[in-house]
Formats: sequence, structure tokens, C-alpha cells
Amino acid sequence: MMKQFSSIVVLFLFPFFLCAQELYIYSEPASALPKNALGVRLFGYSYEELKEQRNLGALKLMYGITHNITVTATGTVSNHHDKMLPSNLITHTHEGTQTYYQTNEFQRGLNYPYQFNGVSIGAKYRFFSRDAQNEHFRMALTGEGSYIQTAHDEAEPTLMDDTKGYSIGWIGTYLYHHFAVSLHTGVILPGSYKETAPDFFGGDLRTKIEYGRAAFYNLSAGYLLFPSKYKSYSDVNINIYAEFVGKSYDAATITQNGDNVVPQTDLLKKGQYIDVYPGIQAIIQSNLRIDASVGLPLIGKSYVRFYPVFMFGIQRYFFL
Amino acid sequence: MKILQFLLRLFLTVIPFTAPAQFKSAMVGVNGLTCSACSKTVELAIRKLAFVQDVDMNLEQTEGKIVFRENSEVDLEKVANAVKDAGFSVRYLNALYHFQSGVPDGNCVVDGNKVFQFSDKTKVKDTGEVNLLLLGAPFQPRKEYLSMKSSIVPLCAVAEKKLYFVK
Repeated sequence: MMKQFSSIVVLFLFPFFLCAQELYIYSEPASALPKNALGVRLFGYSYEELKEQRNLGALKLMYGITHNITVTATGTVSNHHDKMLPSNLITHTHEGTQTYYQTNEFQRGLNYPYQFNGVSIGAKYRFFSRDAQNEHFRMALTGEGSYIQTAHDEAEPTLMDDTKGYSIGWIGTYLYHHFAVSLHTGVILPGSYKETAPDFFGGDLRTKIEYGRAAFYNLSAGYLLFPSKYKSYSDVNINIYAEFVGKSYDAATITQNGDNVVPQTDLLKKGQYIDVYPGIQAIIQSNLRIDASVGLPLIGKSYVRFYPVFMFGIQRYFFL
Repeated sequence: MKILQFLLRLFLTVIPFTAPAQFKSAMVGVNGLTCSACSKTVELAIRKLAFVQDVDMNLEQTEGKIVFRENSEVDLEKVANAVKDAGFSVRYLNALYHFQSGVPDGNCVVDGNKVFQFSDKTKVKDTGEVNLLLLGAPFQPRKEYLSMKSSIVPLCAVAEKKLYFVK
């Protein structure tokens, strides 16, 4: 009985953590979860779009299959888009017998309902480790498949959030004592969004948006601020982070009833940007991770969100 | 009554109490650790092993002292694998072993169901506690292991006995 009780205590009351300084708020480190470990993370972000507050909430489950393979599943809810594309998204002009289709200026700050976006499945394989005392350098490959169906009307693909598609990437993380730096880079191969709406004459208006292929590059740095020397597992850890989140993406390809639509607005054209996310994190009782960061534009800007972007998260791990 | 006392004295003299042959404790150095959370990960992974009684991690030195349960079958490879499964790697593993009836034969010592192959001349006479530094893939950093791999070849293997390479 006592042994069973001890097991329950070990399994559920004493979760574990990876190295604190590399528990980035926005990005992932190359380290994988320990074998048979389950991580549960609730997170989200919020920004004000004109007078409208846009929110995203997510539940992420992570599991360590082996010491170097982690799988994840994330479900998201947001009020970023309406259930269908804006009815005035595409307009046309006539020149002689020719008809030219192009996108309209977007309306911003409209009220949209909260909806379940879908699920994103991910995997990380740590294929290289060079460990030393108080130090490690690790590399991992990542993959993500996002099964999302939202009326996303911008060129930039955002897997797990607004866009269906896949990504593959590489992470390199170097950690030395209280400092950790990590680069996560890769490509996003987005899918497309299709919908059929009734047209003015009662027929079908079939619209398809193929989002731009993208390269992403996230550079993250973390520093363990407190404690400078550990005394016990009950010490509260305070970590500070600076994460640079960058992306370059192609223009969207839009068709309506088979006709090409010229993207006239910046939102649907190719673009690139780098945002910076300074953040702070507390780890309580070597158990509960609470973090927050704020996203600001550094070079260019993303058209899928307004600034500042407030991110928050709470996370816990369990041994199984 | 005197006869009984005599027999008891004879029993205690002729048949002394002996500790069973087994691993008593171990010190494990862990590479890649930099925080208390990492340390706790390793500690919990080692504690899950049935033959482990207690673990005391020292974060500053990134090492832990493991006390094994008495009369339990200790498998040091499982300790090394627990460290690995937690996401880290073993820097060294030093184990305290009580030899009950160690039979030295060159660099080999057979004791119970274990065989110890010493890298140099054995320190073991017949009984007593000896500190053993474990050699081989799971117990050393990869680079260190590869540099001495050619010298870690089984010369003392005995069927159905666990072979440990030690120093």
C-alpha cells in the first residue's frame, strides 16, 4: 500500500523539467522530453485589432516516446477569422471583353466568433548530443502537420493557428551553465483553403487560396536569473528570454471559379519580418512553469496579427 | 545450559556474519545538467528503479549518490539507461561493491553471479568492499569510451554471469 502511495506521489506530484534556460516561451529547444514523460501545456496569445480583441487558446500535449523522440498534439480555439471568407474579398474590373479579378482592401476589426481551428501534430527527433559538465550542444529535426480549416485570408502561413500544411525544420541548441541559445529554422509547405459560397446570381462561387511557401528562422536566448546557486528543488527559478521570430513567405495564389485573382493588398503578397519576443518565466517547486512574453515588430511586420502580441502559458510535466 | 552457550559461541566463531555479495552504493556523474529541474529529472528516473533505495543529487557537482536496497539484484546498466532516458549522459559511474568470495584469476574476479574484469591488476583479495570505476559504453562519455574501446574486450566472460569492465 505504502509502495503504491509512493509511486503515485512520484508519478503525479513530482514532475520534472528539462533545463530551465532552454524552456523557451515561443520556440522549442533541441532537447526532447524524457522517455515516458507527458507534458501538458495551456497557452495562448492575444492582441488588439483596432477595437476588437483577438485571442487564441491552445492545449498542447507532449510525450517522450524515447529519450530522443517527442511527439506533440495541439488543439486551438480562436476568434481570428469568420467562418467564411469576406464576401467582398474579391472584386473585378472589365476592359473590353476581358474581366480582371483582384482582391479588395480588407476590413479590419470586425467581430468574429470563437471557433475550433483544428489539430496540429508534431514530432521532434534529437539526433545529436554532445554533453559535458554543465554544458550541452544538441541538434534535432522537427516535423509538423497542421489539420486546420479556417478562412485564413493572408499569404503568411501560420501552422497550428490558421493554416493547414506541413513544416520540417532543424534545431540547434547550445547551453552553458545559466545561458542557452537556440536556432530553429525550416520551411513551411502550406496547404490551401477552399470554400464554395453562393454568388450574386444563385450559382456557386468557388474560391481557393494557396498560401505562400515560407522559411522560418527563430533565434532564442535564455538566461537563468535566479537562483544563482541552487539550494533545493523548492527554489523558484526565474528565467528571462529574448526570442527573435522571423519568417519569409511567398504571395498567395488565389483563384475564383478557376480564374486567377491578383493579390492587390499587402496581406496577400510576399513578405518577410522579424519580431522580437522578450519574456519572463517562473518555475515553481520545480514543478509548474508559468511564462509570459510580448511580441513587437523589429524588422518589417506580420500581417496576421497586430502589435503588441501578448503570449502566456502554463505547463507541467508528468512521469508515466 | 553451558553446552548451549558453548554451541552458540562456536557458531558465532566458526560461522561469522558476512554481508552478501552485492553493490552497496554508487556515485554517478551526469553530463548536460545545468539546473535543478534537470537534476530532478535524473533523480526521479533513477528512483523508479526497483533496486534503488535513495538518491541524493548534488547539482553543483552534477553528480548523484545512489544507495541500493539490500539483497536486491542491482543492474548498473539500468542506472546508466535511466540517466540516458532522462535526456542526459553518464560522465562516470563509481560503484561500491562488497565482495563475499571473490576469486582473483589474473585480471578477472568471479563473485556470485558476476564477473569483474579489471583494466589493470585486481584490487580484490577475497572479501570486503571495493570501489569500482565502471568502464564501457553506458558508463563513460562516448569520446572517452571510443578512445579505449580496443582495450575493453571480454577476456573473463563466464556463461550466465554478468560481466562488468572495471578499474
